[in-house]
Amino acid sequence: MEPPEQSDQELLRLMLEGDEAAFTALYRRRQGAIFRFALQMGGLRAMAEEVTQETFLTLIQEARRYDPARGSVAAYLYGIARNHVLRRLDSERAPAPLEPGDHDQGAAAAGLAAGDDVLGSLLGREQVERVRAAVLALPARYREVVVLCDLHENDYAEAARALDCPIGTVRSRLHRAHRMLAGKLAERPRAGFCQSRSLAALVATPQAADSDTPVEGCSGGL
Amino acid sequence: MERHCPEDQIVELARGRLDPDARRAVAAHARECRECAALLAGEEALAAGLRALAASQQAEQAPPALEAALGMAFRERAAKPEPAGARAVGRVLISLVSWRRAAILAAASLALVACLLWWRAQPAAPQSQSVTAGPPARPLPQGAPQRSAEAPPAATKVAQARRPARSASKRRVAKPPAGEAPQAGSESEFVVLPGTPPWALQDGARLVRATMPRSALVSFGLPVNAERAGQPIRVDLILSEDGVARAIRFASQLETQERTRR
Repeated sequence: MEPPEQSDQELLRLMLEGDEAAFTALYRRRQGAIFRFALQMGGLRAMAEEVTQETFLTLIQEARRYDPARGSVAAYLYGIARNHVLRRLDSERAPAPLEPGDHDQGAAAAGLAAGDDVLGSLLGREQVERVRAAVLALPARYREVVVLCDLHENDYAEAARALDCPIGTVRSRLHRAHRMLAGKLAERPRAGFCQSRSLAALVATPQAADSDTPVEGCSGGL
Repeated sequence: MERHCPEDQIVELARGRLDPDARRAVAAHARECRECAALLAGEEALAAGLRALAASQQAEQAPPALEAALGMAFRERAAKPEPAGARAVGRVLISLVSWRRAAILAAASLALVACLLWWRAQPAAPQSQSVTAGPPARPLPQGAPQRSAEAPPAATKVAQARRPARSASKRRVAKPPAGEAPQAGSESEFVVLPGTPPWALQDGARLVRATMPRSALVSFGLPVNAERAGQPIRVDLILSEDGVARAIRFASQLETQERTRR
């Protein structure tokens, strides 16, 4: 029986008392995010499965080490998953795979339709692939902040707890990562890979929403 | 006097994380400032791309079988006292971990031992004979250079990598002879490769010395004499943090400098 509306911390407490239902509830609540984190960090489904498995095995073994004062259970799990991912990336020294992913196009379309602006609506599957490849090509310490803050929508404080670093470090890495991503996406796409109007073009020649209005100097800026 | 929006505020505005007052101020400024408007539009496009990527992967889940396996591990752990439980979890872990992975590790270990035994059995080779030592650190352009055994020690490489990165960031144009990559003994400065963004040659850049066929220089956009295309050439490459080659120079100059220093 899945306990209704119990917090992660409460589930963890019950789990430590041997309540398997609490562990199952916690697993079901958090496994998707951990799996996606590993997939977005490593780009490989097999690796994501192994990291998810190892993360929850670590939780089973070391749940007593969780300290609520140091952050949420979710941040704790992200932190464990991150350690497993980095260990694998280090040991395998595998270049980030750039082959197209097998994500659900319908979900992408749904995401685009959900209130995105005109720029967003121009992004199709090819653009999503380019963004995915660009994220995977980032160095790990920049990739992890993009994954946690942009793709998983964690705030800086939560990401800082997961990464065990100061909030300012998360913020500066995220901004640097955005510059790197913009640079990568502005590079000319490989022939045959992206033929339609791309995010690169949008990034390279951005248009202000009201570009028809005369642009004046920057006097009296912020 | 021109004052632009702080870049981090533009990033936060595009991500929808700016507080209302700052949002209004940045948006008002961006309406009047072409440069900030362009930056904001680029950030908004990037934010839209990242949102689309997140949406495309929202349905990704771990396979259902994993829940059952972890449930079994949990029961074993809960049923036994701490040390024995840890061993039980270990046993489950071993059973869950892919046997293919274990087989690959075992094969790699055997191969390593075999290589070590073979190497120890070999007579000392002359030092000038270059032996490739494993794959490049990260993906490089086609015809990727291989790390040479003559590459400097890691600490030296790190120290050197910072200096050339700065000098290369000035985008000095090298002096390879027209129609041909330089010959041994000729001078060469770092050539910044086409498409290198400014950030790539700042923090985190590193130097790798490599030996490659001259024909591989084509992949860096450099001219090659067809008659000498098969000959090897030693180069220094500056790799940006993401492992992409961003600048190249021909090693002969560096060797001369090192000899002079000694």
